[in-house]
Amino acid sequence: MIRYICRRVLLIIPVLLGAVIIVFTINYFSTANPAMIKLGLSASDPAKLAAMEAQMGLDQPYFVQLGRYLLGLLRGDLGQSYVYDKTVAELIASRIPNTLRMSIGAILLSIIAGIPLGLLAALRQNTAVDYATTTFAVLMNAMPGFLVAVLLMIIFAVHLKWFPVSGVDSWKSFVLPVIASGIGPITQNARMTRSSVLEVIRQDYVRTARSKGIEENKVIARHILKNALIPIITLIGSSLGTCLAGAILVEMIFNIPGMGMLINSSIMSQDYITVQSCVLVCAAVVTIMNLLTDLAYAAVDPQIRAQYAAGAKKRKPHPGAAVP
Amino acid sequence: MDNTAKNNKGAVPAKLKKRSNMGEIWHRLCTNPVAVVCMAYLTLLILAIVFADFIAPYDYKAANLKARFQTPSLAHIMGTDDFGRDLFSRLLFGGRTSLLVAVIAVAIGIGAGMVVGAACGYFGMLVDNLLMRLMDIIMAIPGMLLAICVSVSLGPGVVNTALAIALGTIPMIARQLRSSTLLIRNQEYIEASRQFGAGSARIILTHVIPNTLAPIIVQASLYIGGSIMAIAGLSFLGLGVKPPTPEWGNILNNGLDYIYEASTRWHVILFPALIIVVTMLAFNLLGDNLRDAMDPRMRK
Repeated sequence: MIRYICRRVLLIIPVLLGAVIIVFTINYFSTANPAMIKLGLSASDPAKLAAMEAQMGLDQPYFVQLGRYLLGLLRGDLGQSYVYDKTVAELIASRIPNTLRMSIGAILLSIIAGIPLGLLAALRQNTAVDYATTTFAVLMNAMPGFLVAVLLMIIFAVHLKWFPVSGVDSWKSFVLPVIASGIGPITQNARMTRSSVLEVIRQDYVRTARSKGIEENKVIARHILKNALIPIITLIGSSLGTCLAGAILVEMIFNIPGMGMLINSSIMSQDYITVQSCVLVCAAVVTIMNLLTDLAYAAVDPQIRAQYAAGAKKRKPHPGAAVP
Repeated sequence: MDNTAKNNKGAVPAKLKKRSNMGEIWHRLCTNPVAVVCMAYLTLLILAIVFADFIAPYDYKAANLKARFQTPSLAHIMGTDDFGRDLFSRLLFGGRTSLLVAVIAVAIGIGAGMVVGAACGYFGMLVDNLLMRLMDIIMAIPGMLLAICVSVSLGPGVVNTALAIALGTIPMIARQLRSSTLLIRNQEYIEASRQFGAGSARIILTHVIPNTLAPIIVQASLYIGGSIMAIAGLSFLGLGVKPPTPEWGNILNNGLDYIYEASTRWHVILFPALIIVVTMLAFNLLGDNLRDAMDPRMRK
């Protein structure tokens, strides 16, 4: 088991390095010239522009620029914003708590709402409850996230005035954004739980448990849920990425100063180094979350545990290979 | 799907089985009311979009500032927008852009994913390791954020937006194709082909890809739905296809600017939203039903 954990932790390093290289390269081939953006109006003077390019190291070859960026990252230096008089790290540090609060809230909501919903639909298969849940999930899956967010805001904030329209003044301000970014994961969890429970419910051991006279509640908790939830763990882990990406739209609509707003305002002001760094920070958060998910999966699933307990000779299954 | 059946001619032993399999799937789809409704809607939509030049009652670019925000009437069945342009015509032409971008994105994603996945599954070892690690890296970056990054770098436009969205789908398709390639790699017909002296490229192109393509093509429906959503999301951020080129996402986004006056200007939000949601729904439901129809466990 320790071997497995070490291996997974070490595997993070090449993934993160690769993500940095990919994002850096995408940005390197950008059509915009950072020196021009930084100078603003005075960029029309070619001498000034050339001086700025030299100062920012833009005249260096690709590998030198990449090397510098990587060295900077090792020191925790994400670069200097083109637009604000701040480092990108400072900008992100001031914004990330709001985004994480929102995303974690959304994931918790997706667990406490999605799983019971899916379980209920599966236990009452082909009844009104099942149809209502399935329809809700399919419908929500077809709605663009920003549309859901705008509708929630209009109904509950503007018309009913239950929650504030924007800002981060109290816990109340987070209710609608959390629901808006959680709606995707909720429906995914519900659908996945439903199909997973339906599969488990037909297994022999469930019939055995029932025929032994165990109470239905205990059968559900111990025999059905415990086995059905294993595939859900992966889904919950991967929903953090969805939430972080969805946060961009949701934060914009509810005017929450988080990473998403930062990305959006940086796109507007062409502060592309900030966009690049935000994407990298999100990728890092997602990678770490995936690691935790894999570890949780290994801890819960006896099959994987056994594979590593009995001499690690067997080839490691592809990470995420269990996801259909 | 016709294409798949044609390609299968190369693999003689698989041909009969696959054909009947496809026929079986088609039969199951046609007896499923949800799938039939989705297919009918999508056919209608695609026809309307292709023949938009003949159907659209007005020029989608023609502004008429005297007729701004007209609610639906006989003259403008979906009303007019903030420039007095006919909303129905704009949605027809916008659908052209949206679907075009989505189809290009899915085509790029499937094409690249197929090559990567087949190469991984077929060659194994070093190639597999290197390419799959690369795919893992791309998957570590949330799809929407990757699309934003690429879109920012490449600038607006139909092909650029399609590329931005496609990049995130490559790993998913590659993975799926890799696992199905692993399953057929040791089949006799591949062995036979190799005995006859066929090279790797030939085997991959004529045997591996055609025999693993069916599930991917079927899932293309789900990917198209996802792409339409992603395009709309990019438009909302001011990326992707920019106005004045109409595109469902930017038409809806434009309408959402007037949400506080929704009581009199509801149509500029309702119709674009409705067409996006219904189209997404049709692609998703069709994809789900196709997947169910292909699932051998669901066979009676």
